[in-house]
Amino acid sequence: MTLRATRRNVLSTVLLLSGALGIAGLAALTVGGVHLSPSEVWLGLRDAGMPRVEAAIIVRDIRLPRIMLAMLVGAALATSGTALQALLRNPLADPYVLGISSGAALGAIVALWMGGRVAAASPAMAFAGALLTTAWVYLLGRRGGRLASYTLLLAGVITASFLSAVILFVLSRLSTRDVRGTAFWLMGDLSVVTGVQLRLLLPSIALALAGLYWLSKDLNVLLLGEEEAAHLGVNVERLQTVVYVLASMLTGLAVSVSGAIGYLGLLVPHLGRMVVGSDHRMLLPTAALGGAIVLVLSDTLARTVVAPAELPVGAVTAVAGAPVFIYLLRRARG
Amino acid sequence: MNEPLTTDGRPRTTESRPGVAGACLRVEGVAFRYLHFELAPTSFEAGAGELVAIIGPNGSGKSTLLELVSGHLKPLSGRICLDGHDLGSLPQRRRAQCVGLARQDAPLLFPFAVREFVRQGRHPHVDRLFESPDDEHWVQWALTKTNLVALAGRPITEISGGEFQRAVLARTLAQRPRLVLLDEPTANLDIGYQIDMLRSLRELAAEEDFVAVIVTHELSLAAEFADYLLLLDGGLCVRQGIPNRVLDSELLSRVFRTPVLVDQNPSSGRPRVTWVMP
Amino acid sequence: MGYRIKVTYCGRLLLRLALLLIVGIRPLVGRTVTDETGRTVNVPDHPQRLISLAPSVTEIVYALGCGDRLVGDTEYCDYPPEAKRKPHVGAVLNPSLEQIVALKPDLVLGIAEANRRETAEQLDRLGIPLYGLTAHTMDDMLRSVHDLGGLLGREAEARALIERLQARTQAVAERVKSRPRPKVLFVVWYQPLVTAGPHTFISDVIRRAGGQSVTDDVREEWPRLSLEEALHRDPDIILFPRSESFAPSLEEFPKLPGWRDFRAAKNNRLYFIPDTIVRPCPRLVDALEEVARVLHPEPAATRPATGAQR
Repeated sequence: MTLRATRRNVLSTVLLLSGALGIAGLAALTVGGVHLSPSEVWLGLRDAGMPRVEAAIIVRDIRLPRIMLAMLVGAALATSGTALQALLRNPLADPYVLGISSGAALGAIVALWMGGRVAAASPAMAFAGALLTTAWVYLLGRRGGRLASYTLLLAGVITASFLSAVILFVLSRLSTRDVRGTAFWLMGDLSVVTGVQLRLLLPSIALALAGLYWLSKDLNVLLLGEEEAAHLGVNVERLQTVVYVLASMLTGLAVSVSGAIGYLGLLVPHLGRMVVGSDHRMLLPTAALGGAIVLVLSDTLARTVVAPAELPVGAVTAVAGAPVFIYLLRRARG
Repeated sequence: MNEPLTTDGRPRTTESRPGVAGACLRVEGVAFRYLHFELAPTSFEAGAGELVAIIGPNGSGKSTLLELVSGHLKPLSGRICLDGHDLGSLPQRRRAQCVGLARQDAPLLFPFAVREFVRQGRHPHVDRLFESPDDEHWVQWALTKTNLVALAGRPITEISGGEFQRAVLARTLAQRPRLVLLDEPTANLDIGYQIDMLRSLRELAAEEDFVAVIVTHELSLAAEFADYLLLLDGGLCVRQGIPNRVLDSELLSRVFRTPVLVDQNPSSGRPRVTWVMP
Repeated sequence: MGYRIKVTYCGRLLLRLALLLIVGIRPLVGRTVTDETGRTVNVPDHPQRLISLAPSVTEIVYALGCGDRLVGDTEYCDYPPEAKRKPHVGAVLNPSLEQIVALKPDLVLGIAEANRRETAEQLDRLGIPLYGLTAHTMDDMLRSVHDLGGLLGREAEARALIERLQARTQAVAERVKSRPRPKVLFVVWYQPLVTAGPHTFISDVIRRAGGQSVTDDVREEWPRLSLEEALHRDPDIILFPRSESFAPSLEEFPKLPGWRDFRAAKNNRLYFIPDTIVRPCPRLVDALEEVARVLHPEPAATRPATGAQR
């Protein structure tokens, strides 16, 4: 199905999905390891007195930040996946195919290895790792001074493999407890979020999303092919660079805080295309909001399925994502 | 062996219709060099409503010449003038507004609808994020002219090769260019569609006042519909002019390394090329 | 007009001071201490609602007679049996913050080796004090008992328990003092072969039980050895922790390739010992006694009474 990308259609879709996201968020607030009735949740949200009531602590200090993080990370990963699929003209691309998550993982693990104050700043180290990997893959992926999607993909895959090997080596040098803690992060874990992180993430992710949306028309043309896009007046080199940087930034921000949550960046764009078509003016907002909804729901499952213990959210997206992926494959073939 | 430009029986539309703002293409001595290939300086002229066909054996430089004419490839020497502007010096977007170049497109993996595909042709003209009703009008026009209205809602991945070819033409037309360049536009079409496409191309060129330059392997079709031919061989334009002058049995046999016979199509009077069996 | 503004300004200032006092009063009650991991924690003077984030801590809390003050523990806290019936806050590595908050604890206890740094930070942010313990040797374990006794106001019980444990440890030390030290290999896991390095309390127990761990020269905490390397070190005795997840039985091990070449396997000197050896709690001394019995077997008459932790 293709919904024509007019201003009105885009706005309607955004409103509809935002409404769904709001509902999902509210539902997630009421659900958790500790059972709270909706009225308790409501009181907890409004409670401003000191000292705080338990419901207020649970709802405002534990669940609310986590749900907001899930929305931001879900939107970031889904949008990054959409952009990279357009950039590489490959429907199998996901945010991690260019090695950024491996770079972030290595940054976080090195921070743990160094211990002390550095260990406490592991999200910053993870982001630094992501940035360095982005630059490295960019330089490696140039051919004849130009960014070619094929060599970029190759450079990313090679870098990811190499970094994974380094990660395994460093893991072998960590103490057992740190290794087990790292496993959470590697699978994707939304349970650790600070107010500072949220305050940094919100404007950064919003800016990157807006930047990519500004280029959504150019992304449509890029899908025709690099030469064809050039003949239609697109500065292909500049477009590729900007899209690459924005998508990498989104991935880096998401992974630094929550680890490598899988399947989201690959599948949400596909599902979005099935519903609204390939026009990025429709697809980008749909993917962003859809990714937010999916991750909020997945995280809610992760928090409740084996309560009081918690699953890493990456485990939920993998278990849910695999059958969706198989379904999409079969649909494509038939 | 570049022949001097002659008007030899060829109507000079731009001069014979004064006051009409038709497009005017002037290719002046463009040359190029790849690693193992060299295109000698080539010149020709064409006006609105004219169809120029570049013919020649494989590897003779036809596609290179086409790309040079589009302004996209910078020539080693010489220049391309469209309506008096040097195409090479125009900014990319401005150039895309007046030059439409369609080559054999890469296959698409993403399911755009045909209408969306054709709409991409409006990209150089759209300033904001969304198309205006004017843009939609031209998209519809392009679809009508190429008989694709019935397929407009179909995903581009589900149409035949020939229909895809027409969609590419429609996309190029939607650009409303002054210069239309097509590389092998009839490649996957059956004989009916081949004739259809070239005829409508010529008609459109006249209606909309643009210049059409195509690269083709179909010698007889080129003879039938083109106003002007350029025969390339090994990077050199060995002869150019009206079809009657260029399509000479002995010359063609030499260039294509196989005996051919040029006679006349009884219904149209134009040259017709047939092969000679040993 | 100016007078009224001044009044409202003073009024607001007073209100703010009052709020500050109320808010600040909680930290003013209780005292600031440094826990065993070096963090500063503000602990209440008489903690009544405890949550334990590790099985060993649960055992120590019960040993000090404060089991009734424990309002929550982890799913893995299985000793004493009453601990299993307490409300659970999840696993050791990622306890549920919500459960912790809902139980309204005034003090949470954890250990550095098992709990995540992130858990500590999150509890910090929520204003819930977390006191961290750490243990690398038996003396560390005793010190944890002492520290917890101080925190919970059970110094006398702590002292008594420590004296009893030290007496038993001393008895073992006396018994094995002049005996030759057999070479011991402790197998944490057999595939790949993971053993205990010199800075673990497992190693400490082996040393006190009169043995010599063959991995004392290795730097890592849980070194992974190849079978050849372990064979080269030629232990006299091989010890395994007894737990459900440890698959092969003792009779099967000598038949496994590589394992059957150990001199200890040929001499049938493979033993299971209670897995309390991996838990730094008072029952560690039980494990110590067991290991001492294995390394230096006694004639029946002089065998000391085994017992529960008291």
